[in-house]
Amino acid sequence: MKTKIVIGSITYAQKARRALSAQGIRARLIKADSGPAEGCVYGIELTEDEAPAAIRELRRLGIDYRFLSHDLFR
Amino acid sequence: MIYFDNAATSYPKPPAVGEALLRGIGEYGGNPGRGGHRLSLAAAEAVYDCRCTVADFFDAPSPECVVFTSGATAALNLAITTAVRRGMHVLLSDREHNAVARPLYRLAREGIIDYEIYPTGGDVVREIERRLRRNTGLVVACHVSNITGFLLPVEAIGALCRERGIAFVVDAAGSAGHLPISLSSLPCNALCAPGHKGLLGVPGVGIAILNGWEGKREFLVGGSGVDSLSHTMPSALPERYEAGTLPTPAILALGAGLRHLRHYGLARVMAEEERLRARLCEGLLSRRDLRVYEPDNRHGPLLFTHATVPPEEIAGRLDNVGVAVRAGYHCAPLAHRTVGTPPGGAVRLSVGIGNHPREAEEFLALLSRVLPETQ
Repeated sequence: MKTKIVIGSITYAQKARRALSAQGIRARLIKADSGPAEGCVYGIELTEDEAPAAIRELRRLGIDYRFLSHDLFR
Repeated sequence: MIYFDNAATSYPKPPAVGEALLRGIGEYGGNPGRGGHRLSLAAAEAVYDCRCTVADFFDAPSPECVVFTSGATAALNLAITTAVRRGMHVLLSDREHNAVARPLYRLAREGIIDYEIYPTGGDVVREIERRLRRNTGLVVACHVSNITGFLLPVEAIGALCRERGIAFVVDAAGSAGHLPISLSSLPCNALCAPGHKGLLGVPGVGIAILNGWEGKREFLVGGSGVDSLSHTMPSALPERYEAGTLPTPAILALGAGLRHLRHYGLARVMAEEERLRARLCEGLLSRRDLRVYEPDNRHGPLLFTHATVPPEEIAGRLDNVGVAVRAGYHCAPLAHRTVGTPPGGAVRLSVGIGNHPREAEEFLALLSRVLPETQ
């Protein structure tokens, strides 16, 4: 299963992807479904298993994310 | 050809710059930040790589501080326009290019700001300090004059501005790629530079590195690729100030130019340009019919006039023997007034990384041929 972390800005999504890559977490840059956001958004996609570690890392780096893909289906 | 017009645009470009430009319309030909397909995402990643390269080159706090614009003029317009608010007092130096002066003249005409020009002949920091008012909100300074290479003490000006809580914008059009600039030691809020001059890229891209920027308004507005349903631009940098499609080919070329400079070594660039400039200056000064303006400067362009032959006539004669120089006012009438050139301006020689040391002697010989020394 894949998890999408929607960030918004493509630049911050890229920053997030590279920061995670430096920690050995493989993520892919994606243009995501906008969901509740205000229009088009970018984010990263990674395996569900790695999502918790990724979220911790993003919080540590101060990179805000808007929502996780599974939030859309709640 | 002897090309001494590097202050207008650097020439020739390193081969890697041309190659990068072509990759920008081939391998990375998608629209960065405007789609989710692989060509678009590849272009976005290539642009982000260049953002990181720029940030690294100038020791910027982060890649997202790097805003790509269409050039230095757009970068300066962005910085100046978004820094001001109604009733603000702004200071600019007597060396500024029209890319700084005209946005401020317009804002003053519209009744939004008032401005004052500070002299650079003496203690510049003191001159600025004397002119500060309670409503002074912005100071602008060029790092290096685009006509004589006069160096402004931007670190000291920045320190004063930081202490007083005033925004400080640096026009690095004449210094970026010629002198080391580190935002870890230069306290400025916006550093603006063109991609196609000392940074060896091509026309079509410039940079505004925004550091602790408190933009008071939007600048260019339009498509941003994100938050499309909002009536306003995104709040986060760099997208806030990057409306419209980015010029991927020019950005990639800029990245290649910066890598070339890194590989070549900025210290080597400085030393070579300084030597060439010094020899040219010595040759010009040896003639009694020429006036060289501020000959003691070590970097940047050389400016001279002849006792009787107008600048454009000299530039034309030089062009006829294969020498490219620029005559006139160089879009910097304030600076020309400051150094005291006559009506018609002066002839400017500006060296660059592409020049060979022997070109100084060749130039001086050609100048003597087309403009024999008058006794």
